[in-house]
Amino acid sequence: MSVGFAEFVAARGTSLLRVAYLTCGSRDDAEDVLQIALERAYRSWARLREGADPEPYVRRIIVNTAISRARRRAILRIIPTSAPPERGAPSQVHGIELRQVLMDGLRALPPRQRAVLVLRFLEDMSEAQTAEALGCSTGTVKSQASKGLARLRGLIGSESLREVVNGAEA
Amino acid sequence: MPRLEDELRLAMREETAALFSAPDLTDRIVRRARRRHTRRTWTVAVAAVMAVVAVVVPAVFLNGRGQEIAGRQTTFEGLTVTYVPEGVTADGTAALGYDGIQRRWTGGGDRWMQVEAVRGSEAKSLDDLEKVSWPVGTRLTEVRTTRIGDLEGRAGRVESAKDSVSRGRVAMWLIRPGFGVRVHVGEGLAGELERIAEGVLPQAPPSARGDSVDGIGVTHLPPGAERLDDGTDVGMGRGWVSTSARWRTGAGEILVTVLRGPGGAEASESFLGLVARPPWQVGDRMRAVVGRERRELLIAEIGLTVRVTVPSKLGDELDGIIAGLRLPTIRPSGKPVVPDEALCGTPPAPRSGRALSGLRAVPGVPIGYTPEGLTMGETFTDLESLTRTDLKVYGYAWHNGLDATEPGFRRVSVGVVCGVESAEKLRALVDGAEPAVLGGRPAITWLSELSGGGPYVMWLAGGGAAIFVGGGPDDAGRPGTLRRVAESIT
Repeated sequence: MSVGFAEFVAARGTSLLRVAYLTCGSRDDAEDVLQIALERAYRSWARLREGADPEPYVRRIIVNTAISRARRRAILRIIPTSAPPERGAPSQVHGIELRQVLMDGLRALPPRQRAVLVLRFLEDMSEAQTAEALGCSTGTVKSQASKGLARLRGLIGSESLREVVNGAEA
Repeated sequence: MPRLEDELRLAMREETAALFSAPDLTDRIVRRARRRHTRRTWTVAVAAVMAVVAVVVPAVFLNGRGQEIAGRQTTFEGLTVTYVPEGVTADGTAALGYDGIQRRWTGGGDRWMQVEAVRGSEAKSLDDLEKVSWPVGTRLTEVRTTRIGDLEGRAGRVESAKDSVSRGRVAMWLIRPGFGVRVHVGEGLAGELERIAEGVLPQAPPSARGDSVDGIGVTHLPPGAERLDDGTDVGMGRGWVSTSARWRTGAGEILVTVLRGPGGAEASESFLGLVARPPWQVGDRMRAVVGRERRELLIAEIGLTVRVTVPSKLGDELDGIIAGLRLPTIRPSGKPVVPDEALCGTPPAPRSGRALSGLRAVPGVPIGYTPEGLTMGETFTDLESLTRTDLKVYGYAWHNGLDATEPGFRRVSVGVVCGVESAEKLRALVDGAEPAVLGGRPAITWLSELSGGGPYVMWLAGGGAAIFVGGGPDDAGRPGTLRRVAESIT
């Protein structure tokens, strides 16, 4: 086994799985995408470990694979199939549970907007770092983040946000 | 007033707080990588056999820097190696390199050289190309920018990571994004590196039109060649179908004929009435036959024969056209698809359009719609996504003649899996598939990471058969293709 690979997976596997989960929207997909990314890293480990931190490389594969999958999966929705509501139906939201609303809203975003929000706010990456990971311009990152946040804001409304937070603090 | 960004950050952290990677994740990755390496090695072995076809063809090329280089060249994987130092000879054929396919030449001691063609994401930029998967224990140092002819490149030294002992010199550059070259030489040829690198040329300029005949890409044609027709199909009896296309040039017409039918190379030669001796035996499954006055060349494998005919005045172009042919991947099994409708019961009738028949249809699956912009490609007898390997699979693919690693590659496949009698069996056929309903029938959908990736839909067709339609990665922008193909069958 390549020197250092097992240590890297042990140290960063959970963090990367969480990125994969939020960008994919499901646990099964997340585990699969994580394995794809780590497998590619494993095959190139000899050169990766010569450079700096391999994590950005793996993270980049994760988000781009997730986006690609989501786009290809969209084709299957256009095909006139009608699947039983396995997990496609929105979760029942009891009252205004802000976290759940935000997570449902995040899953409903277009894949690239979702990836931008995950990298910017879960991983606390800068706009430039996010742009590099996604292979796009910082302008695209800004506009995608802005659109994504606007859609989430539209879902909950600023009043609801205030109420929920006040309620939580009370 | 709380910021939405802060709430979102908190929500994401809470949502994932209970997620932890599996303790055996590393072991699973390593096993998966080894399984794929085995599969990849097979693919490369097949590619190597195909590359040999081009190697044996003497060539005359005009290189990109205006010099004409004549003589016997070595051509593989879209590259032509025009200069090899004195006393250095080819060592084997094309093989798996660090990240691509390479050929090696040796002259004793540290007088060796290897040229590697790198395609895809490993060659998107010079930075990517520089990240070589060197053997463990070596590294690239002293990297500097250089020029390879008119192209920007990089050069450096490879050394042992342990004791810095030199393992040779390397030069690398991009022919275009997605297609790069690495030349690695031993210290004994360090002084020749620049000349060797400048002698490695792209094989042939691709046709701007990317023509194809029955799924066989014709990427190189003489300048000014004008296509005369869209390909004429002729049923030739005894199970053979011939598709031809012609191009007009100032020196006469070029004809490319693709024949598909049962039997191997001998059968196709016999059927065509070609009397060309002696044939070159290339690998164990392909033969190249040069006809009278060196005007025809035939490549035949089981179930597929390609014949190129040029007028005498264009004899020198023949090599370029042959080298520019894009042949479908040869299945390792090499078995032709044998129509056997009885295996899957009575085939359903197409709902719309004219049913394709004979060898132009998937056995037992009449198709009413032929994908636009694509032509018939390879047949296949297995589907890698299936969890079971004991089921009979018959499939046919359409594609646009490009290599799977090239941007713009498109592929649509249709096929039948026999021995699927129930919805329960259907659902268990593919790991991770999602249940669905198509035309009132039980169906599953899934994404394949294999064969270039793409969405698939498969449904229970009755009579023990399941029918599937799959798309290539670039069909994401053309969802209508998959839908129309599926609708024309159901």
